[in-house]
Formats: sequence, C-alpha cells, structure tokens
Amino acid sequence: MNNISNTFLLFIGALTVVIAVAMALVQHDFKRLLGYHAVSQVGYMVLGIGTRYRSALPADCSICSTTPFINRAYS
Amino acid sequence: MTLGCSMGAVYANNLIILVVFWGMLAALLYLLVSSDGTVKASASAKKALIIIGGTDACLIFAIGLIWKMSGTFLMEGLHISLNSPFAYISYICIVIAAFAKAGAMPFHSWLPDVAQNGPAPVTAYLPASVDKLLGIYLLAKRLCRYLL
Repeated sequence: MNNISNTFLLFIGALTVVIAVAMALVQHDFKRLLGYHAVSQVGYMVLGIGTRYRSALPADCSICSTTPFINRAYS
Repeated sequence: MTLGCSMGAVYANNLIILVVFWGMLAALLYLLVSSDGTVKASASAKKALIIIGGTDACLIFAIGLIWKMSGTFLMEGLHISLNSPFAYISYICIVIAAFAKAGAMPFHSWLPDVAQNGPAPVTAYLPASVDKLLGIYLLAKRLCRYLL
C-alpha cells in the first residue's frame, strides 16, 4: 500500500517536471516562463520525496534554506 | 508578517494552528499580489486565492478525518497506517493541499499568472520561496506521519 502512494507521488512529480518545462518552452513573457520553470522545480522536489529516502530530501531541494524545514518535518 | 505566519505554520505542533497560519498565508498572498493595483494583478490574485482557498478546504477535511481516526490534533506521535478508506482520503486531500501551495502540476495554474501580473518582489518572495517550501514541508511531514 505504501508503494502505491509513493508511486503516485513519483508519477505526479515526473509528469510535473516534463509538462511544466514543455509549457515553459512556448512562453513569450519571461516572467511567465520563470513561473513555469518554478513549477517544474516543484516537480523535482515531489520526485525526491516520492523516493521516500531521507537522504534524498536535502540533496534534492536545491535551496539551502529548505534543510531546516525538512529537518523539522522529520523531527 | 508573512515570514512570521510561515514560521508559525512550520513550528505548529497542532493541526488547527497549522490550518490557521496556512489560511493567513493564502490571504496575505492575495493582498500582496493585488497590491499592484492593476486589473490583471487583482484577477490573478483572485485566481490564486480561489485555488489555494479551495484546497485549504481539502486540508481542513483531511484534518477532520485524522481527528476522527486518531482522536487528537497533535502532530507528535501521530501515526496513521494507510489501510482504511478514511486514511486514503485524508492522505489524498493533504497531498492536494500541499500541491496547490507548492504549485505542482494539477494545481499549478495560479503560479504563472501571479508571476506574470504580480509585482516582481512579491513573486520572488511568496510563491517562489515561502509557499513552495511550505508545500514541500507539508508533503514531507505528512509522508513521515503516514508511512514511517
């Protein structure tokens, strides 16, 4: 059962990464392009959480300030 | 004030307090984005408020289900095994709320609009840093509580 929910998260994350970047490719407004790019970064984070490895989390979230949040989440 | 609300949501040990700060952040996002004053900015602020507010309702529903299953609002020591329909529904609802806050795929459509029409400092601060981290935080926390 845990595998189902993890696979669900992995699937959504992978879908987010691919589709959001593909949508960013066709934008002409640069702010909107950055917005879609931010969406695709969230996809990477969801992908990292979907793997369910603790060590994957701080390495996956590229922003350093994420780490205290993640530590708090696992406390 | 926004930073204070987000820190409150992170350090809240009670699910009700988490929801209160969560909703305050949605309202602050609306106010900050619409502070630009243009029609487009207020339209995208309204869109963000509707999407985040609607998924807040999912979060409140999930917390109600958690209370029904475990009888407590405290996060410490809360462990839920995914073996009943209630647990599945609450899990899905919390994931929906986290996705909408972070801007993941099915609920992402407010983020590009806010980035395009909102004021640039607000875009850099709220959706790009605080809201995204909060959504991922809730996802990690929930996953920890449900599965570990």
